[in-house]
Parts: sequence; structure tokens; C-alpha cells
Amino acid sequence: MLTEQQLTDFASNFVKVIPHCLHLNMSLVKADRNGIELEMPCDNRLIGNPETGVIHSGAITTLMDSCCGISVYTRMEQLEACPTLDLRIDHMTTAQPGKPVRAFAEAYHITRSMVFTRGVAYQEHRDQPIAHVVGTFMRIGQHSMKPVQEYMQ
Amino acid sequence: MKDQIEQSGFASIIKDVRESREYSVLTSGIPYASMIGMQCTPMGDDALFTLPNQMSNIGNPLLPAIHGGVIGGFMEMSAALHLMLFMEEPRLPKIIDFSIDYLRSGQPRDIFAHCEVCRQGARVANVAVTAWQSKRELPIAIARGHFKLSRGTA
Repeated sequence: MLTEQQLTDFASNFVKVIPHCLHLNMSLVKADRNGIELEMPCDNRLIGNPETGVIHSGAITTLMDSCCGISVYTRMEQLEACPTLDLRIDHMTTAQPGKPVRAFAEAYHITRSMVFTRGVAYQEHRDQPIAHVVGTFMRIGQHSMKPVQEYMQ
Repeated sequence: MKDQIEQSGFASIIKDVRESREYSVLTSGIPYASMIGMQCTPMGDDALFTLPNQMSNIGNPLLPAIHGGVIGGFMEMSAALHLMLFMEEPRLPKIIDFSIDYLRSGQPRDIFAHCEVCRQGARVANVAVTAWQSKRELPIAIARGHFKLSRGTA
């Protein structure tokens, strides 16, 4: 297993080196065995409805895809590339304008070829989610991660 | 265009755009659509959505590949715009859920999307979206979403 320090270093680097995560100014809140927590600050570029100022669901999709994608590594022996196979998002309510969005995701099951993740997007408290997500990721082998590790150093 | 939407309201802009078929008014007026750089153009009686390649949409700089979240966001926005443009009467769709299957990695080149309304009821619409790059027969992602339809503000 990766140590919690390795996980924290990897996750905080991940959001800085992935161009689109960087573009949305995502940051790591917490990384441990239980899961990954990210934050996406409030940003007028993310607005989907100019009348209400509410951010577009696509920004939440991106945040959740990133958060679920990192949560995969809470269950890994070593780093390996895991592309998204599918992602489903249920929107409980619209986000409140002018507030950052947080994401929490956990990998709840891992097999030799797949990682199953789930998570929530929220603003005030994790128990008042604005969206629920489930995502499945494919394990394509450890050899796939070497260039990624080199790139991130 | 953003100011125009703020002043006269989304619903009236949609009504105008449906008549003028100047779909770029919508994509340039919605900040998220502008940020990812997406475009919408008339295609016969239908619309084609395009996401031109831009560096800030990259999710894997090594492959390189477009961020799966951006592909999802582009497909969600395409589905919502498709409903605004082609429903019998202009109404504002609000997303209920969205499910994306990723079939191929998104190469750093244009992505195209086409939407199909599978069912439109009084309250809810079901929309299927196909996204492709090289050929439409080789989709990079397919998605299905439900949208709540309201006459008020989405």
C-alpha cells in the first residue's frame, strides 16, 4: 500500500500537473486511506446559467471524475494508470452560487482489473450532498505509470 | 452576449436563437461553454456540437488526452442546449442525472457531439449523446441524461 504521505504527495501534485484541474484551480483538502477530498473554488467561468449564477454541472463532473480517479490510489500497492470506464452523477440539488464545491470520493472495491469508486459533491457539509457519483476505473498495469511518476517529479 | 442574457433572460434568448439559428449566441453567452471553448452549429434541421482542442482541456499530458470530465461536461452542455433548441416549445432543462461510458481516450483534437431525444414527456426528457473524433462510427464516449423541464428558471 502507498503510505498516507505518498498518497498526499501524489494527490496534491496530481491537481497541479493535470492541465484541466489546474485550470479550475482544484486543490487537495485531505488524502488518507478512507478517501480523497478536493476543493474547487467558486469561479465565474464555471457558470452554466448566467441568470442565476449557478455553476454548470459539467464542472462538478470534472471535479468528481478527478476525485474518484485519485481515490483509486487509496487501495493500490503501487501507482498505475487507471482510465475512467464510466461515471454516473445524480444531482440532488443545484449548487449555491458564490461558494466553493468540495468533493469526497472513496474506492470501495478493487479487483485485479477494476476499481469501483463512489463519492459526493457538497458545499456546506458532506451529509448534505449536491451530487452523488459512482465511477468505475480500469487497471491497465503498473508499467503504465512509470512515465507518469517521472513527469510528476 | 452574456449581458444580453442577464438583461432579457434566458428564455427569451432561446426563443430568438431558435428563430435566427445563430446558435453561437448560446455558447458564447454561457461562461462554462465559453471556458471549455465549445461551439454549436446548425446541421440541417439539427445541431452539431464541437469542442475544439485546447491545451487547458487536457487531463493526461503524457498521452496526451482530453480530461474525461471535460468530455462529460461538453456532452452535458450539448444535451441541455439540444433540448433548449429542439423541444416543441422552448423550456429550460435542469439536469437530474447523467451517465457517461468512456469508450476511447480523447485525443488532443476536435470532439464532435450529436444528441438524440429518446423521450420527452411533460416533466422529464431523456437524451442520448454520442461523442466522436475521427469517425462517427468510432465514438469516444456515449452518454445518457435525464433533464427536468420547467417553464421558469433552470
